[in-house]
Amino acid sequence: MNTITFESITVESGHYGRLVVARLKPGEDIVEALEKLCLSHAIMRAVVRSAVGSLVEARLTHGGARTAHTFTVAGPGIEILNAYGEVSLDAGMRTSISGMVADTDGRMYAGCFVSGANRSLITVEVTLQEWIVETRYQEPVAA
Amino acid sequence: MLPTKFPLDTPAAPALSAQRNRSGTPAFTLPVQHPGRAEMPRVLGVTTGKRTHEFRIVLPGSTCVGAALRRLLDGWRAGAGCGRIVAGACAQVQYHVMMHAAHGARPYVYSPPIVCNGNNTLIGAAITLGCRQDGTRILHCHGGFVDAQGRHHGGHVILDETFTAAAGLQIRLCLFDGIDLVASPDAETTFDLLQPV
Repeated sequence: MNTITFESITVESGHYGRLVVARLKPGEDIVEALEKLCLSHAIMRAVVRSAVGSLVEARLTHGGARTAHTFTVAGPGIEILNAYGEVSLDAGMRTSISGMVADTDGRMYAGCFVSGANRSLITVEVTLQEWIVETRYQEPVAA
Repeated sequence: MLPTKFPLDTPAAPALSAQRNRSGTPAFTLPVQHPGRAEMPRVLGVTTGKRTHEFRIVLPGSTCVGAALRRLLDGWRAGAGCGRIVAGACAQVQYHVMMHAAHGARPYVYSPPIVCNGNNTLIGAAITLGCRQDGTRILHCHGGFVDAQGRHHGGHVILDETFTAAAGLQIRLCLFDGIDLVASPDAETTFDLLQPV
């Protein structure tokens, strides 16, 4: 027998807070560094506003838990073309940064950056903005 | 439409992924040795509580992207910021990719410029706005385009040599108040790099 699960929609309202502008030196992993940066400024939630830089190589993933496909874009010399996502240090939430990169032939790849496997080659310039939650509530999914 | 292709992991990748370098980062590729000494801290961050100034810019066709942005930013007396090129196309894109250095102290350098003429559809691009110590503005842009033949072009985009196509370009900029990004010589990599101050 099939079981139908009704999940709810989570809604947050809030506002943007402090801006964090950073530079990652060679060898720093982009996901880990953004989490450390937020921790050091006591920022629990942040949105990636922009990221420009280069990686030794890129390790990206896409797909669900059962269908995940993780691949390496061989470097060194991978350019970050853009990055999006959220940093979250709140319990029960996780950081997710996705983006586009280009290899040394200019070919583009996209996916979620795997934590610990996307190290800065020369520099990564990144801008984060704090997300301050004022209210959070659940809405039922419309039938 | 071109099929999406993903790079195959090498057979050694899982074994390599289990390795850890000194900082605890999984090691897929051997560490790159830069000419200078690595100094702490490894992440430089500056924060401000001041509000950002947000702009949406639409450039018309046949516009030099770099010149247009410089003119606008000079008029606003803007300092540092960031942004994204969110939509549009370019009649000419000039960009560099990174390449292994054949000689010199730097292990990696930028390639000679690659010029793409024709209709280049924007896929996405990010910009960091900063300046040199003499006040000269820096537009550090990385972006990706697909040309009229469907070929990918992604890398370090030279906005002063990039021109919009008839469709124009839409750009969103976020200008900072209270934080500057200033290019200064980096002893470790020997590049002039933007540092938040």
